[in-house]
Amino acid sequence: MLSIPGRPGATCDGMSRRELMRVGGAGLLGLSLSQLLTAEARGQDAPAGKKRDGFGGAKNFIFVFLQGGPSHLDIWDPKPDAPDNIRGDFKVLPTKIPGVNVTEVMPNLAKVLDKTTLIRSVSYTPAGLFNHTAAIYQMMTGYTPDKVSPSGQLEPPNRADYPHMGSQLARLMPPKEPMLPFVMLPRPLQESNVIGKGGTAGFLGAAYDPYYMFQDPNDKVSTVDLSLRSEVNQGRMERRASLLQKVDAAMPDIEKAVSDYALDTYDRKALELILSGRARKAFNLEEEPKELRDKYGRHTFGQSLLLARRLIEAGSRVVQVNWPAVANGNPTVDAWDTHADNFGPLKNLHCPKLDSGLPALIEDLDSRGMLKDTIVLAIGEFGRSPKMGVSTSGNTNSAKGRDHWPYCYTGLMAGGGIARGAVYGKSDKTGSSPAENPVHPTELLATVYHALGVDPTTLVNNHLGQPRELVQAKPVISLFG
Amino acid sequence: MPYRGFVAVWAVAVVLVAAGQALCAKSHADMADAGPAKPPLPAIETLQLEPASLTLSNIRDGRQVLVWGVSADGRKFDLTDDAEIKSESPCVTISKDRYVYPVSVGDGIVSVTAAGKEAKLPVKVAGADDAKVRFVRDVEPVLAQVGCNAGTCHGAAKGKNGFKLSLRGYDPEFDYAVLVQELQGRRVNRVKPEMSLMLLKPTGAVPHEGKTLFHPGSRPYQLIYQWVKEGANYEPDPSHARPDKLEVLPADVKLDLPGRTQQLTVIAHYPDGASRDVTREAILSSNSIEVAKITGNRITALRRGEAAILIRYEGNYSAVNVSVMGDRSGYVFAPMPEYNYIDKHINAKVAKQQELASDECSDDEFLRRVTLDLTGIIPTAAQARAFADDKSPSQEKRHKLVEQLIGSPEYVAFWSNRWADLLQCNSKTLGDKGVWLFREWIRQSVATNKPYDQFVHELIVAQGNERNNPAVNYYRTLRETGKITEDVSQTFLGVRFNCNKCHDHPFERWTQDQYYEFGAFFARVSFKGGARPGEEVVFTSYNGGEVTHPRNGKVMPALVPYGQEPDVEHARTRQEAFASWLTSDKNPLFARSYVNRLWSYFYGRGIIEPVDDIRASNPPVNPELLDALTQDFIDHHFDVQYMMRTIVASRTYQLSVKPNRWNEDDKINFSHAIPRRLSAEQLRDAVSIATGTREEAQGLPAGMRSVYMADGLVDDDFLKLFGRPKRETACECERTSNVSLAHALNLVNGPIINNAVDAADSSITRLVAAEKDNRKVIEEIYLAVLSRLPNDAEVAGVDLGTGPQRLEVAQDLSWALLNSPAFLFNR
Repeated sequence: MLSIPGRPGATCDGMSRRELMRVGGAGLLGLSLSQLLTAEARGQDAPAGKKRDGFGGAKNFIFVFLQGGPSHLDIWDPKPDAPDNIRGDFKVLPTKIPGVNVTEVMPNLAKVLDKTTLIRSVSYTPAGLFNHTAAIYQMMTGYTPDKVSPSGQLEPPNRADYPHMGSQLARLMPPKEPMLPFVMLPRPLQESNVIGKGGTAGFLGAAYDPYYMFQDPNDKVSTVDLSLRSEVNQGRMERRASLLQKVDAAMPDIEKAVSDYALDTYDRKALELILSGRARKAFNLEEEPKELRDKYGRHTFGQSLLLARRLIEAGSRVVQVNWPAVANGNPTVDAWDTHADNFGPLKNLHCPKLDSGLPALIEDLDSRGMLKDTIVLAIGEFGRSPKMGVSTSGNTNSAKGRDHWPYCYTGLMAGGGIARGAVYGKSDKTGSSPAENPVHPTELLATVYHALGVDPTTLVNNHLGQPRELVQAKPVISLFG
Repeated sequence: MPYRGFVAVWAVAVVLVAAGQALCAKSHADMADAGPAKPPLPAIETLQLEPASLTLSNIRDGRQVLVWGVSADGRKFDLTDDAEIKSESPCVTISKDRYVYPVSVGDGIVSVTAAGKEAKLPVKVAGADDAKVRFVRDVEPVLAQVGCNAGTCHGAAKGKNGFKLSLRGYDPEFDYAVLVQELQGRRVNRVKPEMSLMLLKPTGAVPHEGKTLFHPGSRPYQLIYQWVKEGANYEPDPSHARPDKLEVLPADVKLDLPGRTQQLTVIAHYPDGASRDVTREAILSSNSIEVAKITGNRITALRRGEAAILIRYEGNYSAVNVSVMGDRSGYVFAPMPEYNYIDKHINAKVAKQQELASDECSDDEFLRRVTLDLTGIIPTAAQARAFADDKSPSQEKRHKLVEQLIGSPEYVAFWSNRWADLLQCNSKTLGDKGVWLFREWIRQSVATNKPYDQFVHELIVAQGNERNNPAVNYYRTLRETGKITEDVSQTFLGVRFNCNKCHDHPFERWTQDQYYEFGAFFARVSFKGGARPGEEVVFTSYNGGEVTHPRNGKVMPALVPYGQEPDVEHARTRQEAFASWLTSDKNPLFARSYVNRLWSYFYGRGIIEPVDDIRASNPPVNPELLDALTQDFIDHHFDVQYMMRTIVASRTYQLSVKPNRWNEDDKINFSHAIPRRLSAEQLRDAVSIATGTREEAQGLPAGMRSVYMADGLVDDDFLKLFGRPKRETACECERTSNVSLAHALNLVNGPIINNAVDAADSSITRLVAAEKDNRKVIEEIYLAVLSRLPNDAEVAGVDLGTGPQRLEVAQDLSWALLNSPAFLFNR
């Protein structure tokens, strides 16, 4: 077991702004630039190659988070022989994997399944009421929240929270070049009124929080904050930075009083990013061919996935794409939480977007050779009740609505050594519980850590100096090809 | 005495039950370290017992006694664990878990020995009769304590494996029916009680997914067994079966060192005047497992800090504050000077925690802090210079400044903005016209310092159209009864009623019934079109409009959750009856929740935090201070400006952010100021003031300050990024104030700071053109951005040079200062 002592309050590399600027005077910023010029190579360790148990086969991670809980039965685990009140409205569609069907609303996915593994036995029994926030928190951090309100939705994020997996990876595997280590698109996690629960660096400190985009990539993306302004050339930016160091050094009490905010670290990263121009370029979707953009789909979800690929190419370690809509139970909005109506919205709103974006991403990564070392996980925080019109969470459901269902649902993985064209696990006749090989969501996280060459039981000290495993689960080795 | 053996086996249960409880809800708390070793005790001079005497009333009336050892210097240590307890009289017996039980009527003595000292406990046995086991009073608490009806087990919304109990027993009638009637009555077997599923399942005699929760012969087992044997009857007297008050001994816990332990005794008081020791059935938890852990009824100190132990028993809630001191050798208390009563209470708490308050902040720090807190903006360079030049005594000029700020146009704009947040002034629900009308109504209320009770009263009783009575816009925003119920309770009482919409509140005494009774006051708030196009009228429907309970469809009467029922019969509308109850100075939460909220605006956190989650299980860090502020607010007829004056006049408000050795780990007791990141609006406005530039926002007049924006939905990237709320909830948490990489990028390189610094018509440009003396230029920039003069070293650190470069360097200096934490934070 590898133990990495945390340093509460310290910046990620122990460098204060003052030290940074001292280096900066000698050309830190210039160094970043020159580094950049020769840094077409990823600057990372040589590809680890596929090991037998999949350890270290991947370098990057794209997390496609289908927040809201997509209906597994109506997307990728159809049950055509189930009773009327379970089966649903959609017909089945054969896929590239013989004998494996998806539903008719996922024609493109059917064509790329040979590059992926479907896991049809994801399952857990929630602690307490199973509402979104607690489920999301578990999916993101691997832990259940200690203090969740009875509705499961009211506790805002705080610095005692467990870190999001992306933050852990940003810390353990920082990018070698100046790049945003962990980006969350197109917005932070949100459920009800709580923004960001489970989607922060928690006890690792603000410095490892994801970079939130707060913009719609299907719209024109503004990167003013990532570009050097025309009136401020590099030399002048350096002068500004060194002045900032001087004025702060004269006010140590204030610097100390706000140290929890890690402003120092952020400023340094910000300066590096701006001067390198790498991130700005990555955010420019205009560089992509029109056809490819169309293929991903001209909607927030599709363009976010395309942007995810560009960010990984530019050196980001982890990119998470959150399903854009979060509205609860509103059948006119493409949120996965389909209490009010499941089929019309899925067919007309959700699935056309999912079915353009996700398969396009898989194909695009594959054709670029990026699927080798980029692991992709697409999953929600739970599935939906096989029976329609029943309440499993205390919410009201229409006769054509499905409620939350954590006991059995489906996730998709691809790349980074994950088997191509496989189905792992099996659900029972009604998709209600795993018939074989149940997989806990935390085991999926462990599998991703493992693929990235990080022992999931690695201990990281929390804010109180207590050792905590990255995740308390074992990787599912059988998922690797 | 058939019960003697019965009593003795109960002792085993305590341990077994504690172990069983973990099964259903294993949390990360269980992974916490084993904890520090027990520190040595100082020499004990005498023993004290709590309670000092006992009166026992029936054969089930077992009571715990806490044993205190008092050291020579008067400190008290819990010796209950190690004490030897012996009955010296035949009328009293001691159980294995060392509870005192009656045997026969009479007066007796129990002797207690610990640390080589002895004490005597007089015990009066007033009754020693048999007492039947009762469902609500005796059985339900056991089901709760072992966890059967927990949210993770059979208390879940759908129950577990076909067996559902009401969550934590909030519906005993339902539970009784389920246990006695469902499943062909197999859950209870009156002929062979030991064959009851209710006993076979939790003892693991038949497979049970929830594992083994207790064993035959344990206290829960015996109670349930006895109840079944006696006929498994429902409660003979349901109205008096549940307590209405919990008493916890000791009321306040102070532990000197990590590893020290303290037992608690929980006594339930019933409406008929009876009381019982329910320590063994009460459910205790720690709100800070980092500071103190709880095992059964025993607190163990883990590290220096403060925690609250939450006690729950049968719908009653209480909390005990725990202070763990840690090693404070060398500490000597020195009170800070007391400018008013606030400082007295802070001094008391600081002394109790063995901390020392920080020094007073400097005049320039005060100027900036109080200007931001009262008016939301920073002082101009001229104001900063004038304040520095004013040679009158510090407190005198600070006082004068406060008088200038309170009631100023900037003050009015700033506090109107706060209320517009809480009252959710946004165009989505109100339309553009409604937003401006509502905002203007708020503005006038703030400008005239309308008493808080009157302000709220007007909102609650509001009827008419949005033009003639803009206060109706509050109802127009909330619209439906449930949202009104939840937002009114959260905003004006500081309690979160949304929890008890679906079941009784799990951390407070609020019941599901109360949610709908509360809602009934608003059931007749109705909406219709007005005379003009797009206009809406809020009116009270007199012919109907009721709230029904979702569980049984019953029409709920309009009843308040506590206090004197308002006279609904004689009020013009139900809302009026409610408003008179809500805004009364007799309402214990109305004034209290607002002063707590107000306090948080000046200190960054409430005395109760979060400010809108007041409950017995979330105790104030300084109850005496909160009581005093509440009373002061009531005594001054809800005068908000008076309260602000009082708060900013205190020494506590004027403390520096710089901690000392004794308070550097304090984050909750207000012993030093806590820096707060400027809000989105403050930041945007401050940049414009510091650089003499005009703000631009889409669709709004140029130069309009952010604080004046009436609509929560103004589309501005900077304001969104820096956490301006959209005004869609009643929660203070909707506004965020964190710092992330995106924020840093925006500040370092984004348009707000950079456009201002580089603007051709900024005050920097004018300054550099007009002022030839480089030192004066630097001074002026420091005054404009940080509201203070630079020291010599700071001046020497900037070389403006000569020629066109002067402007560039001056701009760079301004940029650097605007990016420094000294600017970005209120400190």
